[in-house]
Amino acid sequence: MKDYACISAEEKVAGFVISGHTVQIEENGEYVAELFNSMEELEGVVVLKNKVPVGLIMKTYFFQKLSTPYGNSLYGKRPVSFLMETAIVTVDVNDDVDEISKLATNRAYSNLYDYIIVTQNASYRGVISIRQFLVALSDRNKEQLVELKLQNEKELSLISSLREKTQSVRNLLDNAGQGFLSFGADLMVKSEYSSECCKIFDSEISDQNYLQLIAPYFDDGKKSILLSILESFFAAREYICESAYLSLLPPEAVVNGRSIFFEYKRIQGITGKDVMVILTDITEKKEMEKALEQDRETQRLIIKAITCKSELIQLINDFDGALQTSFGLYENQSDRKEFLLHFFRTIHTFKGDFAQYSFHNAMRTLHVFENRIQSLLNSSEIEIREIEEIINDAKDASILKIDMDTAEASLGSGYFSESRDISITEERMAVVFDDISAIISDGEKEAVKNAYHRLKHRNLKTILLDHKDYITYLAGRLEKGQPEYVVTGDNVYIDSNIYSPVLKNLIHIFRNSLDHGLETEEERVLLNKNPCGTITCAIKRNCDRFSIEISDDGQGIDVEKLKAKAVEKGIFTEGQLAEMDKAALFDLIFIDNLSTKASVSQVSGRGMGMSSLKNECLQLGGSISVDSEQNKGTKFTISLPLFH
Amino acid sequence: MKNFMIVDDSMMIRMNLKRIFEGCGHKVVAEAANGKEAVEKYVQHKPDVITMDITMPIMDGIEALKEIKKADRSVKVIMISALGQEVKILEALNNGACHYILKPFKEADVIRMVESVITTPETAAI
Repeated sequence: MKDYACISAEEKVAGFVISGHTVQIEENGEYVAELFNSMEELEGVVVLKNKVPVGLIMKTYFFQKLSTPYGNSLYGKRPVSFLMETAIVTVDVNDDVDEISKLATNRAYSNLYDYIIVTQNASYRGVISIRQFLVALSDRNKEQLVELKLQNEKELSLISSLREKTQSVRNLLDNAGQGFLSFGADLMVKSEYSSECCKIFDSEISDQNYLQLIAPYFDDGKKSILLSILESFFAAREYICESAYLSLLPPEAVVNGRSIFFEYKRIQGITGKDVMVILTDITEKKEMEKALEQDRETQRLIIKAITCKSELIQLINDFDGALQTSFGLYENQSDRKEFLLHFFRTIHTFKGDFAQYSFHNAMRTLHVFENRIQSLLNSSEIEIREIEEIINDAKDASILKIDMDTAEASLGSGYFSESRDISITEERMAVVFDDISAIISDGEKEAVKNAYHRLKHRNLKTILLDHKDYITYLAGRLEKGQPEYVVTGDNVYIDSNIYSPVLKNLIHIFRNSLDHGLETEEERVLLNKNPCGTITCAIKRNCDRFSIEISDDGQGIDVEKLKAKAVEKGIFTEGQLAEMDKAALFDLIFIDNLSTKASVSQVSGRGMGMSSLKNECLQLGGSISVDSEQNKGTKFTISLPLFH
Repeated sequence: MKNFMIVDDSMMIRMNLKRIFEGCGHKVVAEAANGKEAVEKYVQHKPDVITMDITMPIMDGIEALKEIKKADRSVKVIMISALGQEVKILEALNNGACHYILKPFKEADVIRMVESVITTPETAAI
């Protein structure tokens, strides 16, 4: 419509001009009569004086004049100036067509159909016949109407095809299995969103504030930053920043029991930038991943249960015993803190042990207990009620049950209780050997004694090699390369019962090497070290003693961090530390609660393992020392008496 | 080819980033181990792109960012941050950092980020 209005307003007079007929003002009436008689369709003639129109003689008017009495003689011989109408209407060729209609219709009724004279620079150019003008106008209107009708039809079909398209896009979105929604700077969800959104949020979401919509599914810490991030996004002028802001939004939440992944994209809206949110239900995916990881854990557990059956049975019994000891200690111990520290160490040690044997559930449960005891230890006032709560929970928890059940589900129930090995107590075995010795010759006695020792003793190398699987597993968890694990040196046969407290605690050294000592593969390559690193156990026998040197080729102990920690924990003052030599400083590593790791992981970082290892060494009349060189590595030397 | 400055208190990280940037054909014109050093070296070397650790001794990355941005609005600063520092990152972005990289980072992610920062026009087409 608008288009046509424009055309008609701008259309010029020129389009309607016909050349018309003219006479000079000197001509007489007969000449004009001749013109009208020779051209039946001629409506009128324009009278010119030197090219300038001065009058108009319309045919009807002319013959009216001539038909009066004496008209012919009166006007026939006289100049046309006597005949002509001088009140003429002139327009310029460049005037708008509108002008014609106005001028024409403002005339007296009798003159309505008079020519309108068209000039160009005041000179005659032509005329507009009102009759022909009206015919032309009506033709044009018809054309315009047809055009309009066509246009209208087109628009209608556009609208319907748009509707169709919208519907098909909507169908696509509704059936994509993902939620799509968008919002602008006012954070109100726009009405175009896919039906999956309603399923996810369990309500209609249009015209809701997006933040209010999702806030219930995030904790307070996240909630407070959501608004700041979105405000910053909408205020941002730099393109690259915008994606940075959106990527700060938390990508995952549990919404109505389903794990939902939130993807944010910047889109261009009509009035400015908008945010599009794509919601994907990843519940199944997460469950599958979890199940897969559980399968892997179960596999490792079963392999351990098969290959290390007797050690595991021993460990399970030790753990039960240790818990009973702890509980007993509580009954008799008046110092609550002392008890908790002991309990903590016990749990910490066994957490490591069970990790070694892939008892993952036990490890996790013990980690939770550790956290609870730790927070009690950190509190200023320790309530008896709180300690008893932990003890009762530990008694009820059946900490090992899930892992044992898992193993027994594959290996048969009672796998851990009825060992196929003959198991007799040491005292009973001693009696049996005494009985045998009583009936054999002296020469044979030596052989029997050796056999007896061999039964009780194992090669230390074999025992140390048992740690290999644990190291492999742990390196994987820490995303470090697999280090080479080497056991070398003398063959020393030991009674593992005597040394088991120390041997079990060696795990803390391996953990520290993997977690703190050995660099990542990338870092090692940069330092021109072999990518994976090496952990070496070297055994030396020296008369009635033996030593184990456990070394790694990692980055060494960070003495500065150790010192800082010692000051922070209030164990030493900076003045005291300044007077210590290197060995004394390294010894800080054996102090309870001193870990240089910033956060506590399930792997290491409590700073308790090293102190229990040292305790156990001292208990056996042994010693432990550590030496370390920046970027070269760390070496622990354990020296122990050899008991037969 | 762009000129880079790497700001991080860990020598290991600096070496690592330097190798990555040089591998992409860029030039590392300066390195700094804390914010104060970064501001000083910035004035000297006027790099095009800066990678800035957030937690550093003496002067942290956010302070250094503010100082540098005060002197030159056009320099592109990419923050390097550990996980869980969203609030700090937001503060950095609001103070003119153009993006961020989370530690521990993968080489491919760093390259992608740097390329996108270099090639993306500063202002969105409206």
